[in-house]
Amino acid sequence: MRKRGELTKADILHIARLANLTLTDKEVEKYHGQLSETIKYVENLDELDTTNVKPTSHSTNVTNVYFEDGTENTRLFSQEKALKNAKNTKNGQFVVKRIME
Amino acid sequence: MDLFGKSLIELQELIKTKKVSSKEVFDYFAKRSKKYNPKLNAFHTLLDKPVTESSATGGSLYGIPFSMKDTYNTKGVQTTASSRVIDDYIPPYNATVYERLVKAGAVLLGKSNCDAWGHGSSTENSDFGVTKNPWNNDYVAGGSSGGSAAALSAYLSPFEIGEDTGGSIRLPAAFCGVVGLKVTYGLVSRYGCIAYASSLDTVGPMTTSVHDMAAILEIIAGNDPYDATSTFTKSFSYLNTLDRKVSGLKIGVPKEYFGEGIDPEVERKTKEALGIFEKLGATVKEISLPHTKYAIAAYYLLVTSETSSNLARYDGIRFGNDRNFFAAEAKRRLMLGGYTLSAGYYDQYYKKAQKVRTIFREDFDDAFKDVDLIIAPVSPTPAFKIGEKINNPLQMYLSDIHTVPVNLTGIPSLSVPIGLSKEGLPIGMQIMGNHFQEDKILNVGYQFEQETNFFDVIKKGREKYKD
Repeated sequence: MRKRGELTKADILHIARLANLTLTDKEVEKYHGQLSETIKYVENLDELDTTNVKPTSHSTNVTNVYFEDGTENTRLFSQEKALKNAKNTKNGQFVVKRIME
Repeated sequence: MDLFGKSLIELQELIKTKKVSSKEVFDYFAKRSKKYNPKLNAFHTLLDKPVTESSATGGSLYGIPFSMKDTYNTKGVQTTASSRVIDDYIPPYNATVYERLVKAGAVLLGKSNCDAWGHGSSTENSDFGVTKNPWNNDYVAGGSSGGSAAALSAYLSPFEIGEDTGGSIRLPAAFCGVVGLKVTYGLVSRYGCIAYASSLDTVGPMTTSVHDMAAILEIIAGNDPYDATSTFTKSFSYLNTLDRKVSGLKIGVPKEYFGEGIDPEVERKTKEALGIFEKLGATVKEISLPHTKYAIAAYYLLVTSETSSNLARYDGIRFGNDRNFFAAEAKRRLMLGGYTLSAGYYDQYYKKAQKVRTIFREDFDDAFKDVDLIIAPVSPTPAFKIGEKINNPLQMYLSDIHTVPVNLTGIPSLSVPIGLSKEGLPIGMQIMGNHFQEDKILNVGYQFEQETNFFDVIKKGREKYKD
């Protein structure tokens, strides 16, 4: 595996694509510098041996929460209400980009 | 009647005894907010009249106006998270915290400015302009809940609801000289709060007294079936324990929080405040939180990963605009998060940071075996100048060095004013307790307030905004 902390400009373009962001050349330049610096900084965690440490995802250890089936009427949206904030609708539905040619 | 500087309890009493109507109270704060907002930029939205009806019999907050950080869904009232991505979004539903306050009779006054998506420590990352520090308009109000802190400091709103993921309530509270509470993770429902980093986000009040804090928290704390990470306990009480004495209390002071980079005035004021507790019969001892220097790294790995996932939903299809509307800081965090979660890197970054969280919990668990509470500065320095750190993201991230360990461990922490710097800027300290010990830290904060009146910081902060 490639050594960490060495972000290339190709990496910046790759991760921008993963985040679905379009960058200008100037932005690629800027974020390359800034993200490289941040990545280098976070690697101070390498000093810590965490081999036998369990990860924490919930800090007070809440697990297995169940919700009864069904929904209260106050939480139901009419079709009209659900579409109210959308800019592009057709026949009471959201218009999305074609994903298959 | 002149309402200037009235506390929540005084306003409640005036409304209850009909010396003043709820409409007069609303109009008073609406007028003040409109007057001073062009100077401070504390609010995005200011309402001309209430959007909800308070019931005539009234709950405990009947007729009390308040504002919220613009990250909470408020039905029918524009909610932007300070981002152009959703600058035309009108929520069709309410956040639980808003719902509970409205049910208690409180009335929404406006929505407060913040760093877009909560990403920042100064509100300079708001897409709608920076909030000015009411004490000196060349300085930042702190962030991300900076608009809320500025509004309270200038007495434009009797209380605020902020949001704290890495210090976003405590830092602006300290920079503007008000009271802010980061609650135990899960104490207050996050349902309807625009998510930043879900495993760290907490909803908390910001007020101008500890009594007000306890009163608001009683209303908003407790289980919510719509937030699967919320506590199982239904309700909590805080007001009835404020009067306990602090004698015999053991306070720990982490030596790592007084290391390199600490402003000598911040150190001196914190030590003076600790002296007050000794005078009240508490004992103060030095402790160690040995991994403090790793907090920022672990925090930024977790939050960028989680925010890249949370903000993936903003595609402009169901609401809002497309992803070209994200500004620089959101782009940086989305890309960093995309990188740390991408194939081959998950274990080395996200999982590693989660393991470091466990190490932080152990550090604090060990400390709480020995002491009842931990007290430390909120920030190594008072507020910094607008523009000072904005071009250096890493320097900006380091502003949170004393606040993020609390979020990593999930414990509660109360930020209170302890005096002013030579330049006349507020300094804050934080009182940290173990999980769900809000009663204890509010009690201790209240006793400190009774003894010192926070050195008149809150009173002085308002003076410039009297008329």
